Amino acid sequence: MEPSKSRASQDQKMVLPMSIYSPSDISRLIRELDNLENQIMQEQIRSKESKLVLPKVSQQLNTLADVNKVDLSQRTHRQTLQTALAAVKQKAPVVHISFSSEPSAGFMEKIATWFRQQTNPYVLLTVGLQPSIAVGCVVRTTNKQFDLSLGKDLLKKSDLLISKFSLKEQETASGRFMPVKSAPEGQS
Amino acid sequence: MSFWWLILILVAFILMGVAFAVIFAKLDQVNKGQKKVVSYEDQTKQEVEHVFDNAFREEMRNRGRLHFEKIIGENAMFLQQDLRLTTSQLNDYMKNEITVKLKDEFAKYEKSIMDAKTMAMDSIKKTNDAIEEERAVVSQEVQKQILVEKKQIIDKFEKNMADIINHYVVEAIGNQIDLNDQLEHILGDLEANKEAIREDIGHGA
Repeated sequence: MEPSKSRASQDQKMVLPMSIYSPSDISRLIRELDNLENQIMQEQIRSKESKLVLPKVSQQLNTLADVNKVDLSQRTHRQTLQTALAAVKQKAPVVHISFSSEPSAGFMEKIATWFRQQTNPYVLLTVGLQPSIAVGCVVRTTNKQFDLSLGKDLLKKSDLLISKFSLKEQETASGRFMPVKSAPEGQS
Repeated sequence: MSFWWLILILVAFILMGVAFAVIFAKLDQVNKGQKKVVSYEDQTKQEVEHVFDNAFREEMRNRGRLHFEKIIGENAMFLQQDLRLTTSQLNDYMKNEITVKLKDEFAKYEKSIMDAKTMAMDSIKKTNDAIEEERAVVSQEVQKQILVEKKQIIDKFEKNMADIINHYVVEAIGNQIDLNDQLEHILGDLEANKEAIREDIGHGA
């Protein structure tokens, strides 16, 4: 990212890595950049050396900097990045997804990849837990909710299930399929 | 018996008459030898007194008494026989009458019992018929209610079948389904609803 470019273009051109997918990640990165800025400033005040030793940063910040070709040792880059992250936090669409269990980071990256490729490149995801979902997920966007769970799928296909059930009941009633009697205890 | 008594009395009178005649003849002979003139009336009286003396009278009384007692005894016996016969006949008559009356009364009693029995049977039959009708109505009503209840249960089951199966799957294998295994299924569902999701995200953004 070049500091001479406008902020609007910089915001649009910032690429969010797939490992950064939630608003909390953005907030954490913003805080980390603030801390980094403070640390660097304190280090510069404390030592008069011109060469700056960059403090250790998180993997996510490193990835963000690498993807966007940002030099964290440069103040302008850091400020640009911070501004972009603030803009993302303020304007990026947030989608809430509920699963039956806690998803792994790799799983969420793939979900985030899909969302950013298909909808908006700055979509942020929040994860919820609903054990009753069992299979699938529930997606909640700004104004709508998409129930992609097993229960909903079964509900959609309940007519098929009922028809199969009725067919089975008719066959049982006609005597073609008699229930198998269990063997008495003690006998093989 | 009175005939023999009559004959006896006649014989007695005849004997008395003969005796009187003999006595009179003897007296006449005696009087012929005597020079006194006695009247026939006086003579008769004397002869009568001579014939019907106290001993004769007593004898006659005894004979009469015996005969009377005999007749009384015979009559008493006859009366006793008659009484016995009459009593026997009366007993038989009473027995027959009582038997007939009892038979009539028993017949009436039996008839009334039979009538009561018939009425009771009719009443029981009517009650049974009414109960049977009521049972049929109640049975139909119960069957109808059962069908309604069954239909409600089935409708409720069908309505909640998805939830039931979902709950069953969750309970059975909920903790065995890995989320990573669902990735392809989830991405497929997302792809199916892509346009709607994109539109809503675009409106929100």
